[in-house]
Amino acid sequence: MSKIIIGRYIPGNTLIYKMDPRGKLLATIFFVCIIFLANNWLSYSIICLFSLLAVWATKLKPKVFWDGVKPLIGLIFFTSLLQLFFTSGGEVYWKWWIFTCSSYGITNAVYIFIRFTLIILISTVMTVTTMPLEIADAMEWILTPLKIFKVPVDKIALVMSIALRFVPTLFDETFKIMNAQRSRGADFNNGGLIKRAKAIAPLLVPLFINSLQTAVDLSTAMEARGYRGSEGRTRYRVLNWSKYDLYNLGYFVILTVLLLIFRTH
Amino acid sequence: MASNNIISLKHVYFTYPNSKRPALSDINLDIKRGSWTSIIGHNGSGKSTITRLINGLLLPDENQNTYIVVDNQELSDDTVWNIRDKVGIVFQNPDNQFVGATVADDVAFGLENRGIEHNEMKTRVVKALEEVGMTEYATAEPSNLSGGQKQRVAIAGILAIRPKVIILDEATAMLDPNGRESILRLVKHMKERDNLTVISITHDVNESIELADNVVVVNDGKILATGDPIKVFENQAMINEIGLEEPFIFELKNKLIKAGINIPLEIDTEEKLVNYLCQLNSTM
Repeated sequence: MSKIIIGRYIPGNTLIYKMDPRGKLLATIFFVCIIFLANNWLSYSIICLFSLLAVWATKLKPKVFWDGVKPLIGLIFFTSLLQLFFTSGGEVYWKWWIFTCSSYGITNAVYIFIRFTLIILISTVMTVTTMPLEIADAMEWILTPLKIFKVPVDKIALVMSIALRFVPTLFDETFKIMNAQRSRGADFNNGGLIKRAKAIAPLLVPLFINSLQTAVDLSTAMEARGYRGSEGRTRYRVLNWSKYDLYNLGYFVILTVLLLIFRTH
Repeated sequence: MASNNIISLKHVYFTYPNSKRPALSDINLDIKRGSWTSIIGHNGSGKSTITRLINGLLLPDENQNTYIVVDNQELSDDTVWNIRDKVGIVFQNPDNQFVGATVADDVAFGLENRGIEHNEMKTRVVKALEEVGMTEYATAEPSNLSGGQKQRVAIAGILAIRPKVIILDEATAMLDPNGRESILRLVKHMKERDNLTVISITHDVNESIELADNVVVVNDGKILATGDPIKVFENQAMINEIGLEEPFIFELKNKLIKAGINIPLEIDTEEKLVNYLCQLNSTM
């Protein structure tokens, strides 16, 4: 059976892989913010260049990134079209009923298109170069300040890592149950929407019951192995900052400065 | 006072919540330090319940005569975590005890719980993986491992905390014959090297004959017989009555006797039987 991999991590060993997941996650969030600094052709060109450089630095095939953009392409075009036909101002080229096509509309549509695509590209750069588990660790680190509000960050992190660990197991389980049902005549692939939805129910019930059993077993095993809450626990996986994270930081500092200089004030 | 018995259960009763009948009644059991004890019995006989009482996963019914002692410490709220440091359990389902996202993470889980310092943790994980022969899988995810490999990782997780007792709770029941064989060999090796005490809950009477110093037969929540495996299994009527399979060696012996070949009583291992039969043949 094909192994299902959660997330879209692709093993590799280039520069971006060596960066700390915390830095990458923060940089991605930061990128989404600074992209709004760009407001003219020059600043958009700069941010495009920097993004493509990041994509290039992964040394992965372009198809990987195309796969990232593909599922959202409809949404991107839809948003761009809205901008195109509903932005007024500038020179009007064409007008029909409530739709207007103006010079502002065209510029805005293109800007939105670029903005959307770049955000997806950059988040793809992060997800293909960072293991889901590392992303979970990074999220835990970012959430750490919430501890002062008594948010059980360690427990949330453990839950996340166990959830990630059980995704492939649950998939295996699902296939097993599907095959068991098929061998008794169930049909998952034909029929209308309602018929198919009905075929899913006998699949979900055993899957759900199995999961509960697994949860009970797992909690017994965890207790037997000495788990008693987060207090006094140490961590096996420790994240360490390295010089590669300075490159990451430097890259974004330069990008931000350039955007601030070349944007229209 | 160091006792010869690492585990002692006296007058232990246990009733599951929402159940009227006790799952265990008046269990008295002594387990010698460094021994291999097989607990056998059919499903629902209460054999797994006994092990869960030993490390406090379940608490016995209130009774002033009851006590459970593990490595000279009486089990109580204060000592339960100490006792869990000394007793490691390998459960039946390889998947449902794998907590970590990777092999190394899983081995480290018990160490993390005990607050072991990071460098020490790394050394212990490496060593434990080496001992079970899973070093090259350190970064592998559980979904890419076989059942036998997952059980090896579970054993590594236990070895890393350096326990005195390993409980195999039907740990080989979901494995293929090769996996079962190699897991038992591994446990036997570790037992001899570190002078561990092994308690194996099993259906497999042949495993008991081969590996155990002591066998405990449990039926309906009571201990039916305990002692040297060969002596216990000789009581065929009892074995048949509680629905266990007869050990292969006894089955074979009985069939040979029925076929008119005279086998002396003292022949009680496969090896002795093979030797005896060879001699028998050559004198004919």
